[in-house]
Amino acid sequence: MMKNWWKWICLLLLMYVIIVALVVPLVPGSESVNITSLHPGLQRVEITGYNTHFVQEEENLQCYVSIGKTLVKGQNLSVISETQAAFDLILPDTIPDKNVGFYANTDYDGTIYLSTAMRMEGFILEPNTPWKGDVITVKNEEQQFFGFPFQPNLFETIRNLMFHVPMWFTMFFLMTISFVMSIQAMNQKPEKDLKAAAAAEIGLWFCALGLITGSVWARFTWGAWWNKDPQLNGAMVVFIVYATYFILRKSVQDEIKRARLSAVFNIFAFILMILLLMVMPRMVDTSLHPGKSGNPAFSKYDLDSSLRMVFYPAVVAWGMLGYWMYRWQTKVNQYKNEENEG
Amino acid sequence: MRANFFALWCASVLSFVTTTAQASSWEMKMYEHGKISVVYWVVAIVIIGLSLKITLLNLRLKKEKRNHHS
Repeated sequence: MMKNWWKWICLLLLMYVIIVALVVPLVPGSESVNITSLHPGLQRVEITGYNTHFVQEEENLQCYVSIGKTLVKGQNLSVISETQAAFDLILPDTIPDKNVGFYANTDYDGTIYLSTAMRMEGFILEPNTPWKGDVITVKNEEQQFFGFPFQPNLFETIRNLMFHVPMWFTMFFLMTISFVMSIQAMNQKPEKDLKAAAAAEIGLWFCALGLITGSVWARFTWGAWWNKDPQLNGAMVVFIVYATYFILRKSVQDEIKRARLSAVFNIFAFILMILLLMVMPRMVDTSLHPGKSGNPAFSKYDLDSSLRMVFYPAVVAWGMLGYWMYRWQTKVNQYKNEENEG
Repeated sequence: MRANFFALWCASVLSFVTTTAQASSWEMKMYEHGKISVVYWVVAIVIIGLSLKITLLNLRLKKEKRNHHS
């Protein structure tokens, strides 16, 4: 029991990650409004929220629209459902700015916000115009419960962060072990070749899972199973290169020769992996993938620590599982090697 | 080793069954938009994929051990 303490920690962390990643709700957010253009005078606006509590919080619900830096209060507020509310918006002919945002605020949900492109019809733009209508003060900006961030293009799929991304972290970890073992195998220690192969085999499995889960996620977020994206194509090339490593191993019978050849190929594959997954996607301007081509990674635009509470344990847990599997695979390889020698 | 394998397998299956069973009720209550189903797919792929590899490893290890002792 004491000997396997880290395995028990791995199992507990995995349980924690899987359960918490699925149980914690998303914080409230704003999905849409029913209009695509604004004009001077009276207009009825319907705002649709996500995970909001408009009926429960009807007493203190406020809806408003930002025109530039001015917040304009919505009149004749009516709650349609927990996620839908409508209000009248009265706008003058002259406005100081054409940037518009829609807000709803309750004590429980905090403030939800939707910035969307609007056609501004019939307005005169005067940047220094003082606002004559009702202006509102925000009471509360944070929701009163713990939750994962709401991202309009991700919705619930933000939870995939705890499953898809650690697959790649684990792959990198295992491929690094494989790389180090290959260097040692080149340095007059051919027995390390078995460990290099074991780490690469498990790493390749994690790579395959990363590719499949990424594709499922991309279908939801980007609308396609696969895109001509440098990150995606790079990941597929890495998978093929490491698969080729095993074809090479099968094609050489002599143990010493196989160890040397495989080690050289593995070092080449590792450098290629770094270039294809870490360097090249950052050098082009066309990547959709978060964290690449100037796209913000999750840590940049979430600005809260709720995801990190699960994401960091997830990276550790999946990494530990990968290491556990690597040790297992090493034993299999060693038995097989002894059998072949015998 | 057998105990470890059994514990890992139980943990995987238990967590998958628990979360999936619970998830169907959330969809009714909170996530009526159905977008959570993408997450179930991803979780299922990861758990089934890794369980499959662990099972294969365990079977191969048993086989190699048997060959080694005989």
